Amino acid sequence: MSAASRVYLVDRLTARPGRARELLQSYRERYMPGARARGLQLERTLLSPPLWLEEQCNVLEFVWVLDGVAGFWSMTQQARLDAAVQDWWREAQDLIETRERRLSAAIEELPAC
Amino acid sequence: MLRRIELIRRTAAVPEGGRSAEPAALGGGLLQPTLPGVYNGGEWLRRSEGAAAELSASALLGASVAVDGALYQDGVAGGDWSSGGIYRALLLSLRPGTPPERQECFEREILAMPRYIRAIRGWRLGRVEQAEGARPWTHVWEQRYDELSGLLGDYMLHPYHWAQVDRWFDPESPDWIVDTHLCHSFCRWEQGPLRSDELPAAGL
Repeated sequence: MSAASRVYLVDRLTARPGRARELLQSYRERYMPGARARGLQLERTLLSPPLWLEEQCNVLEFVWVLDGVAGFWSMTQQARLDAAVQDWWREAQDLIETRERRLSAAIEELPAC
Repeated sequence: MLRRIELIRRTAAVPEGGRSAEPAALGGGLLQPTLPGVYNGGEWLRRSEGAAAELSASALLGASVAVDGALYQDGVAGGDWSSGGIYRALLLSLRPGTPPERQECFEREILAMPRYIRAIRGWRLGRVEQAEGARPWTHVWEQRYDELSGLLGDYMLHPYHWAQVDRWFDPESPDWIVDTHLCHSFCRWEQGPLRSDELPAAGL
C-alpha cells in the first residue's frame, strides 16, 4: 500500500433555507484563515444549485487539498487542540441543515488501478 | 476473562531503598517501558489477565504513581497473539449521550480495521467495566504488530484509518463521538510472569 500524495478534504454543507450566503461569508471569514494555517489549500468552492435560493436549501461544497497523509494528520491534530475550531462549527450549526465531511484521494493513486 | 490495562507514570520519588508495596506474585502478563511516540501513554505499560488483573498498580504502588487504566472483559478479539513484536493500546471515551446505534457502528468499523490493515496481527476491542485516570474510559482497542513500522507506518498511513475510521475521533466531523483526550501507548510485546517488585518502582 502506498500513501496518497494528495489528500482531498470536502466539506459539503447544506444551508438552512435562505441562509447560504451568510454561511459562505462566515466560512470564509472565520473558518478559512485557520484552515489555511493548518495546511489546507482551498481548491474550489461550489454552489448547488448555482443561484441563491430564498426559501429552499443551497448546498455549498468546499474542496480542500492536503499535502499527503502526513499533512492530514498534522492538520487534524492542530484542529483538535484548537477550541476556536469547535466553537465555529457549533455556532455555524444555526446556518446548517446537514453537513458531511469526506476524505478522498485520486483513484489513480490506488494500487492496481 | 477479566483483563486490565494500565499506563503508569511516576508522580513522586521513592526514597532510596524504599518501596511503596510489598512484593507479591502477579501472575502472567506484560510489563514494559513504553516506547517513544506515545501520547498520554505513561512511562510503563502493564497488561494483566485473570487473577492478576484484580491487583491494580495503584493499589500496589499508591500515590507514587498516576495511572490511566481500564478493567474489561474479553470483548471481540482475533488474529495471532502468540508471537512477539509490538503491543499497542488505545484508551478512549465515548462522549456522553452517544446513541447505542452509533456506538455499534463505531465498534463495527474499528473491528474491520484488521481486514484492511494487514499489519495488525492480533486485535481486541473491549468495553470497559471500570475506568481509572483522566477520563471514564469506555473502550480499549489493542493490537499486536510484528514490527514498530506496522503501527507507525501501515496503521497510520492506511486510508481505512484516516479516511474512514478517524471521523469518529474528529471534532470537525458531524460523526464525532470520541472524546479528544485519548491514551495512545505502545511497548514491546514480551510476556512473562510478573511480580510487583518488577513494577517501575526501581525508578520511582
